[in-house]
Amino acid sequence: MDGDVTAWTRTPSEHGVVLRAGDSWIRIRPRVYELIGVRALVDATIATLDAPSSIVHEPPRELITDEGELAAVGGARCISHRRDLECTVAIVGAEPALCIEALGEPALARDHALALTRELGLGLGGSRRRWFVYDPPADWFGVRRYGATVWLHPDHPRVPAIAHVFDARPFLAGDADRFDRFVLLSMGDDFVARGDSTVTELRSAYGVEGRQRIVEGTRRGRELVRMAVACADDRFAYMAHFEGTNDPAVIDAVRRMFDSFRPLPHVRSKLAAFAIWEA
Amino acid sequence: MSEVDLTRWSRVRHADGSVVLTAPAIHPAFAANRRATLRIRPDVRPIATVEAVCDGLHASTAELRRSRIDRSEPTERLVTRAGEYGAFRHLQVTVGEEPLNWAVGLIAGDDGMTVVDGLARSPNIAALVRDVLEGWLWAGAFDRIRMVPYRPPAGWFGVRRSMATCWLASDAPRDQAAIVVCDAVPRGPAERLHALLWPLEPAEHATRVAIDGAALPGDIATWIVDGRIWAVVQLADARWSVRTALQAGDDQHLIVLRALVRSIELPPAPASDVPPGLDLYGWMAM
Repeated sequence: MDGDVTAWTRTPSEHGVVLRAGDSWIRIRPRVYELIGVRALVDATIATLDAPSSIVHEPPRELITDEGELAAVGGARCISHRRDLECTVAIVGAEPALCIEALGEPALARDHALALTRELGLGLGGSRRRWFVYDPPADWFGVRRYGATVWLHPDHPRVPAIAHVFDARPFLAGDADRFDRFVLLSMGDDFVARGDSTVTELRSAYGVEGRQRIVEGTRRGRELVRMAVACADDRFAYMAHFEGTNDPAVIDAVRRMFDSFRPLPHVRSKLAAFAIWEA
Repeated sequence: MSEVDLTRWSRVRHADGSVVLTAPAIHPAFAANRRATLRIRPDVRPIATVEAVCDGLHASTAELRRSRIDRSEPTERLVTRAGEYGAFRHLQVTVGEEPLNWAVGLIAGDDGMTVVDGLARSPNIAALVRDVLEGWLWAGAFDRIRMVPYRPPAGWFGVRRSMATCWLASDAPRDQAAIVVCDAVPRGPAERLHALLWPLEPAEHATRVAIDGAALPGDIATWIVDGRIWAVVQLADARWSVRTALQAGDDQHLIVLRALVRSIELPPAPASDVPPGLDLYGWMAM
């Protein structure tokens, strides 16, 4: 096993465990609820050093764990007390996230941290709702809400334009899912549609297929357009909606976001016999 | 959904994620002179008792703050159709001179809970809140690392840690006995994560004996280090693994550990009556 840390000493910490080998350490926190970006986590990890200098960041990248979870990985090299050091961080999942931070001798902590990122199971359940990857409109402001990310136009509220992108939902039918769609997904009641809505087939650039519904109307006297999108692959439904000004530039930005929906990764088979199907 | 049709209720979603549903002015199930309200607050942290939730809502809700509460109805424990634990309480409140029914319930997750409360003149609100709790709320994936119910030793003091609860003896620190009850872990990759946090590996020379009367098959391994007894109980089947450990100065505490282990319940399985199929596009009606 690449992530064999049996030789590392283990110290429990308040939110997880810290592993140490010589001057290198790896901190594992399995349930982190405070949202933080990879770059910020790298900076926070390096900030634990005494007078770090010559800091060179590596660009963040994606990694898919053996369990099929998305991970964001980042890192940096730096010098502290004349020693070359390497920092590696990984954030697996979303809310909550498994955070792995490593700092120490180049390669040693990094290799173990990346191996642990691939091999450790999150333990959050395969059928949970979760974030998926897409490209939000440039410069729009994102706010995290329960079960959704809300994207606001940079000139909101002067330019009324709000998009909700809901966490990907596993295909679990039943009263709970229906009720949840009624309570959380449905758009506000005070919209007066003008004419019938238009429904079109949709296929994102990454192969997620579904439908898009558009209707124009008014809300509190204001001319608006509404768009709703529901796509799916064989395991998850990806849903979003938008309400805002009928400005072609705004509509185009939202369409491009919907078009960037990427399906969630599958579990990677460990059996060589199946490798041919995954090539 | 049950007989109560909520589709005509008005719906306001707040920035904190809560949703408030208000019944139409004339509703067959609720008194016309008071609009019934149903409030759903997901992801409330930390987990609290229904009594504490009631106190919090009573203090923070303008209408309830002025009310008198009759707390004679007991709290009921419930298990949802998705296999989650929850609790429910039906209270009578008097706002001014108006008697109202206030139903409060919660579904407990691992680090947080979903709170539902309904207020109405009609007692039907209690059934509605109970329906919502038992069958209408999404509560996360069943196959996650999750707490399981058990009976802790009487008088012992529990401290919640990451994915486990530590229990200290009632007369600690004089008695330095401690019991760790790990959360139930689904078999598979999550076991390795949990083992990193809680490396409860028995010593090689430990004595192993099968443990009977527990919810899962397993054994208890005991050994002595510097005159203190160590014990690790490993219960597992094809789906779940639950580990428990003891460190104590004398073997009397092994009786306590065995009683605790026998009281551990497995996570309830989700109901299998969930209808197949999924309406992917129904919510898109504008």
